[in-house]
Amino acid sequence: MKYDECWYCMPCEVDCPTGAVTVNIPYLLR
Amino acid sequence: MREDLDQLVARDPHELMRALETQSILDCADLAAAASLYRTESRWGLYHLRVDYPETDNDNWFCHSMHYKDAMGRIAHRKRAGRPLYRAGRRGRDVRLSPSAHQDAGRGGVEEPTMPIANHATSVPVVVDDDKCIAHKGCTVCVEVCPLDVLAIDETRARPT
Repeated sequence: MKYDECWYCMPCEVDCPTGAVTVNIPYLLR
Repeated sequence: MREDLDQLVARDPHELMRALETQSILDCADLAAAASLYRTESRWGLYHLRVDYPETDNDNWFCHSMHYKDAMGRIAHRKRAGRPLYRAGRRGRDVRLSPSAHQDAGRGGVEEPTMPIANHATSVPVVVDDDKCIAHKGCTVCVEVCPLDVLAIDETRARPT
């Protein structure tokens, strides 16, 4: 973990081959 | 575009607001571009990535950069020191410093108030289901696609963290 930030850009969730990764998007960003 | 601003006309208060807003937008754009040219390093992932200075230079740039217009209206810059937002805690966990800790640390020797700098990761909104994750089989997809390097494989658990 190099940066203290998440852009909610979602490729980790989308590209995970087993669906193990979930990004909790704050309500106001949805 | 800067020259075009002299031609702006406002026919009512609403247009006047928009005209003034346009000048502010252009000022911000100029300052943002000047700030990027001023900081001759790369930092914060894609936020500030300079092809001509791809490395992070903590010796010269672990600080805030201040940008303003001087008495002549020209864009000027200066550096300002910052203090870490976190300190190392027990069991390798970073501890966020309280605002009062910053005030205490700011007394004596510091001429002006400084803003905290976040230089260690604490938590991200990414949750990994250990039962589904196949990092122990060598998968690093989530780590590789993250543009900010938020994720890393925890070697002790063979899972992203």
